[in-house]
Amino acid sequence: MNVAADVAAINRGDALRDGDRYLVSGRRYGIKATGRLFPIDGPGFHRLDRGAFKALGVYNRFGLSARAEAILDAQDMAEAAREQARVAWRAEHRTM
Amino acid sequence: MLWQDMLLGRWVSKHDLVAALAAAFGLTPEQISVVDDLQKAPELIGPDTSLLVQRTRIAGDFPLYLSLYPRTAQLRRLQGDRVELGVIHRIAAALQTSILIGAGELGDEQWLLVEPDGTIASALLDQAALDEDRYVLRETHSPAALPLKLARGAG
Repeated sequence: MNVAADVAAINRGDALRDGDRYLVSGRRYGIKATGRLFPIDGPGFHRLDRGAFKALGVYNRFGLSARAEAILDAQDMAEAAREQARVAWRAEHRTM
Repeated sequence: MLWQDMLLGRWVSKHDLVAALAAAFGLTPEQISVVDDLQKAPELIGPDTSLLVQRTRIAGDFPLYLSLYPRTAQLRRLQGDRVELGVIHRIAAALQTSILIGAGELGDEQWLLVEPDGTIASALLDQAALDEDRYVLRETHSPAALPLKLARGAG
């Protein structure tokens, strides 16, 4: 996934536009009143809630390890949030 | 929940932070664990820990980023704008510092600034600075234009 290439395509006018939404490479982006783009959905994007976002931060630092799980236990992080984060982590590390 | 991530206008000691959080949440200081490095969290947590707090020093107008992790059902149930803003106001008043919180979904650009006197203003951050992980206030809206203003000591 190359977000920079998507943004360049949008700036060149090569993306499909629908109101304040852009479609490029199967990914949808929106544009805020400030003019900033934000990702919505599409291949390579993972929608995370706050808990999953925090859990992903732990996995990014400690990997899928016993230490990471011990830290998430200390945070009393819900299993659903951990699993969301693991899916995103594995997707990222598969492509590296 | 608004209160699980907050940015404080000044750095505060662990002692002062624990005292303010304990009073705001109705906990004893012993029920709160504060870490600067998450790696140390598992060893600090005990059976009586109700709230884990991570303290991070950041750049910009708000040097202290707090991530709060509730460990009891009672704290997890603490939600609703008025209740949460009441708690944040109590922390701001106890520490005599402004507190910035995200007001929308994750990644949104909506922020609220809670002052020690209970004034609440919507805030805009400098986006260029934010891209560099610096939280810099660009402007705040007039508190009078907002529907929320907590009475002194409310919550």
